[in-house]
Amino acid sequence: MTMDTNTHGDIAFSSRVRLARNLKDIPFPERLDDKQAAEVSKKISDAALRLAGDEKWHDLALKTIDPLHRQALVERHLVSREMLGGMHDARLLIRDDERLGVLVNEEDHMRIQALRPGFDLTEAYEEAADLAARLEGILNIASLPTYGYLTCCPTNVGTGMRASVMVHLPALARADLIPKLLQTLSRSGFTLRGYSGEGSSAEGDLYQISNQVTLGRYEKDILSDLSEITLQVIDSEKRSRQAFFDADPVAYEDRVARAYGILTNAVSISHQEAMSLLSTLREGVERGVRQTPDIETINDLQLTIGPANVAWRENVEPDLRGQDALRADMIRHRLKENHTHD
Amino acid sequence: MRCERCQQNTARLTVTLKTKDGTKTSHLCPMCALTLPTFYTPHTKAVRPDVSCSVCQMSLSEFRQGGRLGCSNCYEVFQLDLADVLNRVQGTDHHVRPLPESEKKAEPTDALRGLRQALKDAVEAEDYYLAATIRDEIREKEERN
Repeated sequence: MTMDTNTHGDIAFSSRVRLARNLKDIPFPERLDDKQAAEVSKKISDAALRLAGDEKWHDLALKTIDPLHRQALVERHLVSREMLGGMHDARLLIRDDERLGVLVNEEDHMRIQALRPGFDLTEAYEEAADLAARLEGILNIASLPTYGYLTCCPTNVGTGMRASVMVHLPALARADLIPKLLQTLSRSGFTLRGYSGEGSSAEGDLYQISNQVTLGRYEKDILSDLSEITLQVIDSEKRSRQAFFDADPVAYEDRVARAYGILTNAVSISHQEAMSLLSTLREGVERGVRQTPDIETINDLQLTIGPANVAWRENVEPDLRGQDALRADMIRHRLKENHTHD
Repeated sequence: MRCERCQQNTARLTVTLKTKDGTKTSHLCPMCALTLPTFYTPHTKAVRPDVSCSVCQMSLSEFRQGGRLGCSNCYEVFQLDLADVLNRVQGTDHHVRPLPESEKKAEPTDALRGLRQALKDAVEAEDYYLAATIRDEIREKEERN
């Protein structure tokens, strides 16, 4: 497998592998009544938390936690939007570092997901597969020799695996190539989506490339194809950036400097504007036009400046005006903290 | 209402059968209706039975409408329709995992695949008598395995 973490860690934001698993002969979550759902939820949570051993894990019952907290989890990509749509007894079991988790009673009984920063599908897969195998050791998981792992939707059956890489594609977006890329990828068996998953627009020019096919192929082949296509997209983004830079280096540098200027001085800023400026700044840092802030700081900001996260963290009502000020404060603070003499 | 034959599944079909003493009306579940040589419902011609899953009660028509399965058992109940769906969304209808020796026996042989296709064709042609015969043959083969 070709997975070049070091070279492409800049354009690749994060890698994720999600494995769908279900309990044998128990209706899938959407066909469970409240009592059955609670039983399934308890069975899986007990098993997963038992496996956690000494590691610190959190067990969040999505029905009972603060709605704002729930929304904040969606913004950080830990819970899917669909999961908020009234599923009974849905839970998120998550390790303290938020890199490994199990979603219980979403579309399937279990979605085991591993998340890694940068371009690191192999590690993400190994971690998810290891937990899935250990869960399979203590739970009766549904599978058939002909179909592999059985899932609620036939689009996930077989490996049950959805692997994805989040990539930052501002230049392809500026060149208006995203619709075309979406078409070509989909014809080759991959999906391209905006930042927040299905049908969402691409805040901060972040796109997710994932596999479409889950059946009839080995996990390692799916992963290696996804890596290959992701590298091609990254390469194309790099060439597009180069073309914009060559066309007008001063304008290129100016855009980045202005983005930094606004982000470090604004007193109030909307989520959308902040995401868009952070995208420009990120591109500048990746290209070496600017030395600060570091990419990790930008990653972290992009994940935590969503409306629900700001409101939840600051413990305030999600009132827009106040929130925009808090967001601006937070960004200024983080960027100045990260500033070194450049 | 329960099926008059198996006394287990919901009777979803009213079937009029010709017997040597005239005709007889029965209320049957789709699975039992499938075993009949042929069957009729009042006012309609022979219909394709609306099979349903015994674990989660999802019916074939529900599956066709929503495209999602209700439980792991549905994969066996709806396998005839599933093949089409899987070929469309996944480009194949079967898994590639290398099987451990213990599971290898359960892998469908070419003969079984052929029989499944024949069963599908028979159901599509609404020849339920033939379908029932093929189904029994498949069961027998699977049990032997």
